[in-house]
Amino acid sequence: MSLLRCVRAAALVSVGPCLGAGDNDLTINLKVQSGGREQTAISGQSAAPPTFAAKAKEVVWVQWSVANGTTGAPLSDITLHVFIDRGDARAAAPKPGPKTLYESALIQDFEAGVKSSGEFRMPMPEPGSYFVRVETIGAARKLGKEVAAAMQVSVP
Amino acid sequence: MRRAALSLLLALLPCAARAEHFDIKLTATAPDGSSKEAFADETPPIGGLNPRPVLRAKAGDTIAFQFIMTNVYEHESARNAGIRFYIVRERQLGQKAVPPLENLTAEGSFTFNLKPKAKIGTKERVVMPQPGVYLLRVESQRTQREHEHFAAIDLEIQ
Repeated sequence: MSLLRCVRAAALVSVGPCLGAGDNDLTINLKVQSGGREQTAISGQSAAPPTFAAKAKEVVWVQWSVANGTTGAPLSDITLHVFIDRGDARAAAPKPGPKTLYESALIQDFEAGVKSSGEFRMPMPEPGSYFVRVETIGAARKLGKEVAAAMQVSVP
Repeated sequence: MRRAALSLLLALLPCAARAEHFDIKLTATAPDGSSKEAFADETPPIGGLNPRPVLRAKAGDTIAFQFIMTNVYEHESARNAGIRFYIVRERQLGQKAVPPLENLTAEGSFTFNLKPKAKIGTKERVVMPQPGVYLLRVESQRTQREHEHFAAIDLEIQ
């Protein structure tokens, strides 16, 4: 069973009725840093994912935060799915492969004003094209769509 | 019928005996397919109660690790709770004290409002660059309880 399916299994049995959260103000902020350089991606602000250039073996620091700026009812049972893998961030609905470098899933309720964050540091293993993606799963039940932020990480 | 009841009882016994707040399953796998698992321990005491399993691999190998943590409390929440995980070099296998968290081989964390029955999972692939003894550990933070929980595996890289 995949990590995501394993974590979400608990939430799916406890999903309640749609509460209606009002405006879509769930915002994801994704930042990648290394060697004094940084790049930021914010959900809904750019059609094309930005690119961050890193070096092979260089440690990159990936940080993300998700904030619910709505004033309505809580967004319940939202899964925050984060992964970094080889590939193109512009692909439609990319999914992590079996050799994904990092993947996490966290189920949370987002009350109005609540913020959640996470980070990891890891060395980029070898030259290639990678992408980081932070996405919600389950927000569409209340907001009508999922929210995501993505960034290309290029290792020449 | 009696057999089924016995199986259920055996499945429930460990949970009842430990009365943990967090259920944790941490797995580390080496390229040769060998794998070790660790489960929830608690601190204090320093280093916890359970001996740590040891996964052996070679320098340059990619270690895949995964953890899934479940908040088994059904009714309690904690604001700004955290989870931290890391791989850090240690002096010797099984040492009780956690080494200073410097020059970490891998690390990550989460800060979030912990809801009842919440699940958090992570998996990562890490190249172990140098020989040595390392501690792979995942731990709860700021759960507003009298102790925190962790699971840990020692990595012996030759």
